[in-house]
Amino acid sequence: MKIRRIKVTTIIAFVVIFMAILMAFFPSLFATHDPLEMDMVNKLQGPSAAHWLGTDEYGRDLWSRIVYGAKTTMSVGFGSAALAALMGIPVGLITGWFGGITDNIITRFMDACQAFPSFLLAILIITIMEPSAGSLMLTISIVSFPIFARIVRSNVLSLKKREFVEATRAFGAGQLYIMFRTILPNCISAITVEFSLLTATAILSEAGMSFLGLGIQPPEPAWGSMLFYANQYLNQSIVYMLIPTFTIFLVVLSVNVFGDALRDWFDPMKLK
Amino acid sequence: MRISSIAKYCLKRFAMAIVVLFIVTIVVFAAIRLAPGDPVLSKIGPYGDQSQENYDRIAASLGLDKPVPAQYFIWIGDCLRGDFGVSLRNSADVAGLISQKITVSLELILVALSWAVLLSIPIGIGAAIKKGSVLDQILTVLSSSALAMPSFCFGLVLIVIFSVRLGILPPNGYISFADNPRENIRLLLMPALTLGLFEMAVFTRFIRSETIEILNSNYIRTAKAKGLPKGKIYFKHALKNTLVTFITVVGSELGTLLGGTIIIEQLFGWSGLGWFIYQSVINRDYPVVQAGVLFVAVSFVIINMTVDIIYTLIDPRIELN
Repeated sequence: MKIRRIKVTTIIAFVVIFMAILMAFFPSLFATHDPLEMDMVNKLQGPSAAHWLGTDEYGRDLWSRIVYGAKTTMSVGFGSAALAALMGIPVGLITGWFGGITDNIITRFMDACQAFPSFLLAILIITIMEPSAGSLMLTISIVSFPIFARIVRSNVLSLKKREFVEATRAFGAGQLYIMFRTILPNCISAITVEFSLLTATAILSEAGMSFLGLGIQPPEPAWGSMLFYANQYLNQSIVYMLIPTFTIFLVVLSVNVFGDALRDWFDPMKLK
Repeated sequence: MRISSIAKYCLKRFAMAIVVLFIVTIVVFAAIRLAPGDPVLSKIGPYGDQSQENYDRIAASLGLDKPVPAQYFIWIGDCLRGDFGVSLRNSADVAGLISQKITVSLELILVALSWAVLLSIPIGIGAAIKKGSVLDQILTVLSSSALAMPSFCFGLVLIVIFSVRLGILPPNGYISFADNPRENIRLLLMPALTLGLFEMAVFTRFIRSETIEILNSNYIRTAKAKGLPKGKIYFKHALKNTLVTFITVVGSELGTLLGGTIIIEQLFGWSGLGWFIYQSVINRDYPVVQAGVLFVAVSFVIINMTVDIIYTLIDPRIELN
């Protein structure tokens, strides 16, 4: 196998994602303060030695809130993408493999789901449930699973005509075996790339929903809800708004860069 | 031959749209039934007559005593006649409220899309022609960055600069153009810039990759080999083909934005359709939510169908299967 050069940007992106995941699992290693500890005397401060990134409207340490917020935001990001994959992959396999009337009905149903602006649909679903990290995950995944299903479906459509699938069938393999053991492993590259894109979208959706007050509820820290509160203190502290913005930006950009790198890695022909 | 296959395609596309619309109405109907809160109780209010007789009477007046499928068909019939009921908050006619909000949203969306389209075409084509140059790389970084931020964050930055620091633009609000054109435009600037920036990033990326693909195609190579001037190749041959696909992208973006600009409308207090539906969800004003969401989804389906059909009409190379 030929060794390919890995780009510097990909390495940086990987380090950023790795750090964010590390923060999500071991926040106490990184945080300098308790993220819920209030200190009204030092509210809305700029960066200082005591508070690296400054403080919020209750004098809580922003750096520690970013660290603890990583857990919520990253789990919503990965969790939504995982749930969407869990729903989308079987649907894509079934519609692509069986085709015909099954495909027609399910695809029209997904068309209908995608006729609603995803944000509007998310708001509708969240009003039926209570806003929380779990319902956010469920909402984002319901809104985005058709994207997954469509990608898997189009992969299945091109794969099922290939000789190795014919061969497996000729050996007497059952439909389920062919779908999950023969076709699915060959969709992995498309699935991985889509997974990374959806993770990025989900982090942005968390920010959007929390910004409307429909996301993570206080006092639990999350990057999107930090933006929601920062917006109310724009004329007192600009740093407060910039910090979650930049954090979200850095992580989403990294996930996207990493996804692009994955796509190039799986599909080296496109590089030229 | 071609004509009849186009007609067949249009018919098929139309039938598909009808099926999708049917499912859309069922989803909207079901969502409102699943939403928390009892419409009868909210109609009675906390100080109204709480007796069972009054409850039954109001339920009957709202048509809620009939079986669910019957309720669905009555609702569809009313919608088709343009009767969307009245708002629970102020008893205003929902159809009137919604159509007024649509024009508010359209003003924002069309202005944002226009500047995004006008700028992204030259930028995208320029980047494609000078692929790999420093300029192209900077543009790629910029557009990836714009797509990696929550779209409203750029709006927050604008508010900080122009409202908080410089104090030259009002941070939020809406005044109709007919009432005060100057204020209308001053209020429109920041939301249109915020929304347009995101769209511009999407469009520029699309035009760049589409143009690169076209510039690599055989007929462009032939044009070059014939010795046609570069300007003619880029702006006549390549541009024409890029624009054909670009129209579909702008069209479907228009469909998505109608009712989908909730956060930006909320941030800037631009009281358009997205903002209105969101407020109605918060206030549990279900007739408004139902009509608003239905309108948004129906227009999305219709816009996309139209775009698909136009696309096949202007590009004779599209295979119709």
